[in-house]
Amino acid sequence: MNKPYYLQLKEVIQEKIKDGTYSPGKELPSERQIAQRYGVHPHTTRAALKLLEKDGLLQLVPGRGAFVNLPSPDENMKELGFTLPEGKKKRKKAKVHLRLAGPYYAKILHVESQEELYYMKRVVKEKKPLYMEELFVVKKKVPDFPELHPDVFSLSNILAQKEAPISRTAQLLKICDASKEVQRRLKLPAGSVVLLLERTDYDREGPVAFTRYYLQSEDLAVEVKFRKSPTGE
Amino acid sequence: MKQMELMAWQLIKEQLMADILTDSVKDGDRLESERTMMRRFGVTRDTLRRAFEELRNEGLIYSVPASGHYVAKNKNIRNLRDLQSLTEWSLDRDIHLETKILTKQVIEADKGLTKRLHLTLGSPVFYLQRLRILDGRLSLIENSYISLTRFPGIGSINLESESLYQSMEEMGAHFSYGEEEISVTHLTQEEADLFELPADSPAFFLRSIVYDTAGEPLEYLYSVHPYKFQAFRYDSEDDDE
Repeated sequence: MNKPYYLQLKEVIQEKIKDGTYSPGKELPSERQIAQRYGVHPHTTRAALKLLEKDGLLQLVPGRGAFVNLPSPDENMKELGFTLPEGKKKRKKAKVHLRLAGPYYAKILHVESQEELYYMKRVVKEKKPLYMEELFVVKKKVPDFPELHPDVFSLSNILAQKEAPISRTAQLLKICDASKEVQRRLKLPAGSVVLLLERTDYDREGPVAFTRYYLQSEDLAVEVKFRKSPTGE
Repeated sequence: MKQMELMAWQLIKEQLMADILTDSVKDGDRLESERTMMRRFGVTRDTLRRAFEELRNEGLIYSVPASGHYVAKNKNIRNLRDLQSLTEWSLDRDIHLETKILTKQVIEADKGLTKRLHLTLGSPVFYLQRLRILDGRLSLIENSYISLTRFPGIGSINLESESLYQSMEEMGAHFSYGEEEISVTHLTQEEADLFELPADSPAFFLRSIVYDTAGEPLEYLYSVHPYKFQAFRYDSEDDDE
């Protein structure tokens, strides 16, 4: 007896991911298109995609589509440092802009102030807003950044695909008063404070990206793992 | 893709952030008067004040009515990667550390402590509450819990002058790694009085467990740090180290 169609369809898509027809970071055809192509019900497609998401091969973003997952960055980079809660799928499509580095980001990212940066701002939500994220990426280092679906994949995931991967990060955590914009976007009352986490990602030559996270502090904690440095004493 | 136009207040904010970053204005320096800056940047007072408000929110400046705006850099920046004790940290930076013991007593392990310190209910635990004073300013209140079964001599050490970690190491502890959770709390009346801040002021709340090389917990601690003068840093190691 044949396997149920959703399992067969899952294997078909899995094969296409494996052979590169659907490559990492790319968007799959819509559920409806897949259903039409194979003459199955959209529910069958949905079930197959859900299984692939469970296996970690796809990222499903409600209202946007299915994306082939990027391989995870180096475990070491993932595990150490401040870790933020992931925030689930409620990402609105965020627009990537171009801007000049200006005096401040030029210093932070070791570029000329006339150089161009990609800039993106978004709010990551679970049931309620978790944090606002502001991203500054050196354009000449990641020229195709806007096409890599930066609103679907995390920056570290995207940068892990580059030829010169991230080799080190520096992070700074402060508490600051929420500006009016942060209050509005995170739905916080006036007078609230937020955790401000600033992170710089470096490849071997220097800084690639700078990120600022404003985290609501009512029920969020940042976690850190640390270890005794072998040279300490 | 078209370039995004920055607002006038954003340009000023970033210029001032660059000035602070590059130390062309230093900690405690007064910034140029609003009048001078209005002329320098060619903007209105409202635009300037928007930039100042943003910088104040992020703790980069503070403003004194009828006097001006002053640069405020975070002074206590601790790197969390290395498991460096406050004693070592302050020595490295030539900061004077003074410790006052607020509470020192033997308590019985409750359920929470049995889990954190891998003990059985009712085991004797040494509880130590210390005020840590950096260069004359109370900077944090630290609460430590250590198993007395494992470190029976810990109670007889003068922990106002001796380092707790060093004493534990001398008793055979091999500090190895730890986990920490950082969140925001609000000062209780008692804490606020000690810090001389209004009650309910926001503060960092740190909670961590430190383990030895065998994976056994050595210490459970939590501490409260007023936020104005505190930041935490975490720099990953270089690949080739």
